[in-house]
This record gives sequence, structure tokens and C-alpha cells, in this order.
Amino acid sequence: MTERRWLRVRPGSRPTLRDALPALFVVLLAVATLVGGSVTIEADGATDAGATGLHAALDAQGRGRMLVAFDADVGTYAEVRPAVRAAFAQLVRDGASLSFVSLTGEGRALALAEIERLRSGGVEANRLLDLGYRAGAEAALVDATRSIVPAAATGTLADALRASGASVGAFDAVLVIGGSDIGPRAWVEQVGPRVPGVPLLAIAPSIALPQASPYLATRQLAALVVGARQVADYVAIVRDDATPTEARAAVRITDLPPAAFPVLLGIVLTLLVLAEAAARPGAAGTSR
Amino acid sequence: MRRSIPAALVVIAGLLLMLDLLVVNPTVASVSGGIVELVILLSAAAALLGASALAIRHTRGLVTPGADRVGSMLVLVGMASVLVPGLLSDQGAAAPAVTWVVNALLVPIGASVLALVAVFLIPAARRGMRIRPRETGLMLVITSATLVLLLPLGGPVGAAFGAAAAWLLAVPVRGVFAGLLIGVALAMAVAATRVMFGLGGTDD
Amino acid sequence: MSGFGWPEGWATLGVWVAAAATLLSWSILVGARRPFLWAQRLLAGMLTGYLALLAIREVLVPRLVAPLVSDPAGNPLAVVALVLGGVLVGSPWLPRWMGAAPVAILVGGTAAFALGGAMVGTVLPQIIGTVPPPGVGLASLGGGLATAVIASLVLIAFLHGAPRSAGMRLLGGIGRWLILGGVGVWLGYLVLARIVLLSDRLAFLGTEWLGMGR
Repeated sequence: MTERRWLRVRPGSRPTLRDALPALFVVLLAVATLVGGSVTIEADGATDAGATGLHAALDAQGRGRMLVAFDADVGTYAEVRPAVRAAFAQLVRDGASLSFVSLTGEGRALALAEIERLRSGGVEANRLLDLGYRAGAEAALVDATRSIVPAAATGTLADALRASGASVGAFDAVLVIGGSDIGPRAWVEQVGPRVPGVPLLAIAPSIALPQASPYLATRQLAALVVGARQVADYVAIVRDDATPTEARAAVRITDLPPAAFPVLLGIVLTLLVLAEAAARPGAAGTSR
Repeated sequence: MRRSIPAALVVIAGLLLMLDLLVVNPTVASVSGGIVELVILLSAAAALLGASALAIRHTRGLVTPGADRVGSMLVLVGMASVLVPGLLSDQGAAAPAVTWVVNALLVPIGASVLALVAVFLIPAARRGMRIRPRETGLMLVITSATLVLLLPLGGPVGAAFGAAAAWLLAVPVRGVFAGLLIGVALAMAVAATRVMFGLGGTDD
Repeated sequence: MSGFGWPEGWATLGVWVAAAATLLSWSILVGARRPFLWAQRLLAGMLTGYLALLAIREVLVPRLVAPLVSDPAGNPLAVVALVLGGVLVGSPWLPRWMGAAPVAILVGGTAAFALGGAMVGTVLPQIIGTVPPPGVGLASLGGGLATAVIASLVLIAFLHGAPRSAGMRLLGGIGRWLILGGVGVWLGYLVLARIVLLSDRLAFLGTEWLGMGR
């Protein structure tokens, strides 16, 4: 295998600065991440309705039973991860129990990592329950409205859920962690009409925002935090809300919101390249 | 006759599930519960079928002259790296070896590949501008305006941008996506009805 | 992925392998396509293997194999599922009409869920939701009306198959431009999400792998 087969080089041409643009983009972002990575996106006075809404909705659960429908994916989880961990911190602090279920493979993989993180973070075993993976997408959601606690699940939480019917209706609320596949929309469509008494709350990545926000407007979602800005707002509220002792516990299982400087630079660079692309659409560039 | 069996199954399964959504009846609930269980188990079997087909295809690729043998080998290694430890351990997907593969390979590769979207937008935008300049131009102007509003700025400018972004989402964007949601849902409903009743469609 | 734990004793190797996997995936940035494609192949294999593992260990074994082993006579549904599942897996070698039976149940079920969910969960609530409620303030009423008008225009554009008059064609044209605008907004949010992801991977390389910065 020759070096020429490994590298993509246009025949008869020498690499130009334009070819190096993608790599330059990443290098600049790397510098910004390392230099200014500790400054996070700050909340605009922490008044965002989505963030305050989720905080209030989780607060209302108190020591309740929360079903965490964890279907994040690896392409979007980085964006919502701080809010997810802050929500777990808020729920754990308030004494709620967390039961995890996933309908996608990637969601299951990430859920297992988060369950392990909570366990190693000191959350008691009787407040965590792994309900596992369920195949069939919409069919699995419909099935969950009849039965969601597997026969193999043991412990006081599993027993308590069985005593309350062992379905979605046995929970006080559902926190949907959405990705690009299964997310708030599927839960609203399949579970909402069948179990109307259980509020659906959601944390979703930016790309789900246009799809999910109409359901917040119709109150089919009781609360929705979506995208980096609302994530930052929500994390700030949870941190401000904690007492010093609670803050220590919360910090242990929360994450920093996205860093501001790399995001700022990334947006500016994207705007520049979009402007360049619009100004010179015919220019030869990399065709990757 | 043979062709009508699958069509009849589609109609029966679909109607029973629809009926269960609309009326409360223990018998219908019990039967539709059985269908739901079948759909779940068949979905899992279909996933297994897909994995088997992929494994067979890439096993053949290993011995086919001219095929990407390294690529086929990597697909098979990737499958084995989670399947073997997961099947051997009592913990299944929660086995430490599976967790390690997920954290060390699956998540980093998946996230790294998808992270390049922002970078690859450059040639995609240029191509779009060449092919459909008016449509792509409008789209990119709105994308750029959205990105400006999403700039993580503090102070009054950041607050003003935040307020503008919130209004955009609450009124025009909500309108567009409410319309799209209704449209997509109606299209899905029409397609689903056609499938269930075999209207203008396939024979099996 | 930042902040995830590693099995005891495997952290250092895990971080190094994750860093190598990240760099391999980004090899295309310097024009090296082949390693990038290899990374994609490895990812496809792992994702497929993981799904197969979940299907076996978390669905088929507890919901099909276990009931059949413990009490086959008491689980007729499991027997039916076993037969249909067997037919589905063996469909490449069976007559087409036989393989179509389990597919028909899957299709019928999926269609019914899609139809029911779309109508009850989206169409009706969204139509009601786009109509401004009585008694709201002037600003809210204006916003609500604008939303309803925009949604209607988009819907007209979306239902492009229906025959229309010149007026409807004009409205549909406006709706089409509105859809393009909506896609533009969505693209903006997608770019932001990917910038955050890129920054997250870079932070991983800098902090967890090289021990620098944050």
C-alpha cells in the first residue's frame, strides 16, 4: 500500500490552504478549548423558562419515583450531559428514586455508564433500578404502559413498583433523555395518551428542539430543557439552589456546561466559512 | 391465498392495536398485549437477523478477491469485541469488558465522526450554493442568523440575543415545525392506513 | 466520553485507546481516508454487535427462552413467537410467503402505532395548540395568530400532492420558503451541537489523555 493510496490528493494538484481549512478549524478549536475551556456558557440571569420549568417540575417530585427514559446517543450526549447529571443531582438530593429504561442501543450503553457513575457517586442501591433495554421502539413504549419492571429486577424499589402496577403509571414522572432517534415525540405520542396522569419531562439536544418545542407549547411535555444555552441555565439553577453540603454532593455528580470560548470561536469560524462558501460557490475546494 | 395471509395479518394486527387505543375492553387489551409482545420479540429477532447478515457478508468479504479485507475484518472484530464478552458474562451488556469496549472505542469513534459535521459543512455549503443558489442561500442566511443568536455572549447584548432567539422559537419556528409535525403525522397516518388496508400497494 | 468510569485497572489503557480511536476518526482532516473508513467499519461492527447482544441478553433470553424453558405449556404465546422468530431468521431459505408472515405482524403493529400516535398524540393536540385560546393578551394573540398562519402555510406546502388553484399554489410557495427557513434554523442548532461535541472530544484529548487545561 503506497502513501498515495492512503492520502486523498487531487490528481495533478498540490495541496492548498483551502485543503487545510478543516484541520485548521479543529486546531483553532483545540487551542480555544485548552486555553479557555474553564469558562462555561453562562446563564442569562438564569431566567430561561425551559430551565426554570424543569427545575420546578423535578422539585415537585420530591421523594417520588422517577422513570428515566435514557435514549441519548453518542453524537448529541455531550451537549445535554451536564443537564442530565444536574437533574440526577437534583433528584438524588431531594430523595427521589431513579429507574432507567432504554429503547435504543446507544441509549442503553450510555445509561449503563451513568448508572455506574451514580452508584460509584454514593447513591444508595435501593434508589437506583436498572429496567434494561426494550426492543421494538413504539411497541416497547406501548408495552411499558402495561408492564415495565422485568421479572429479574429485585430490591425494595422493584417490589414497590410491582405493588403499584409495574407499569409507567407506577411512576410519579418520566424524565426523557432524548437523542436523535427515540425522544420526547415518541413518548408524547405513545405514552402520553395511554398514561395521561404521569407528567413527561424532557432533556434533549439542540437538533431535537424544533421537533420537541411544539409539545411544550401544548403542555404535552410538562417541562423541556433543550440545547446548550438551556443546559447551562439549568445547571446554574441547580448549583445556586444547593446548600453548601448539598453542593458538594451535587458537584460530585454534575458536569460543567459547554465551554463558552470554543463555542464562540466555533460559531465565528462557521460563520466565516459559510460566508466564504456563499461568496465563492464555484471555488475548488476539498470534496470530502 | 398464500399472498392474502400476510395482508390479512397486517390488517388484523393493525386493527386490534388501533381498537385497543380507542376502547377499553379487557379481551381486546389481552389480545393486543399479545400482539405487542410478538412485535417486541420479532423486533429483537430482526436485529439478530440483521447482525447475522452483516457477519455473513463480511466473512465472505474476507475470502473474496478484491474486497476490502481489512474493513471486513474490522467489522467482525468490532462485533466480536462486544458480543463475545457480553455473551460469556452473566452481566451481559453491563460486563466490565463490554463497558470498556464501549467507553474506549464505541463512544469515542461515534462521537468523533459525528463531531466532524461542523467541519464538513464547508464543502456541503459550497456544493449547495452551486446547485441551488437561491434556496441554499436563504437557508444559510437563516442558519447564520441563528448561530449569531446562539453566540454565548454575556451582558445586555447576550440578553437581547437570548430574547430574540426565544421569540423566534416561540412564534415563527414553532409555527413551521407545528405545521411540519402535523404534515408528517398526517402523511404517516395515510401511509399506515394504506399499509393496513393494502390500498394501492404491494401484494405481499 | 468525559467523566465515565473504567473497570478497575483498565483506566490508563482505556484513555489511550479512546484517544487513538479519536485521532483515527479524525485522520480524514489531513486527507487520510482509509483510516477514517476503518474507524467507521469498526464502529458499525461494534454497534451491530451491541444491538445483537442486547437483543439476546435483554429481550430474547428473559422474554422468550426463559418462559419456554420453565413452563412451555403455560406460555403458548412464547411458542408462537419462537415459531415466527424462527421463520423470520430462516426467511432467506424459506418460501417467500412464509417469511412474510412475521414481517406482516411487524408491519401491521408499526403502522398501527404510527397511525394512533400521530393522530392522538400529534395531529389533534397540535391543531388545537396552534389556535390562540380566548382571553389572551394582544401580544400573545398576535404571536398565536402568526404561529397559526405559518403552520397553515407550511401544511399547504407539505401537502403538495393535492390539486390546487393558483392562490393555493402561491400560499404553498410561501410555505415552502418557510420550511427552508425552518431547516436553516435547525441546521444552526445542529452546527452548535456538533461544535459542542467537537469541543468535548478536544477537551477529552487535552485533559484526560494529555493531562492539560481544564
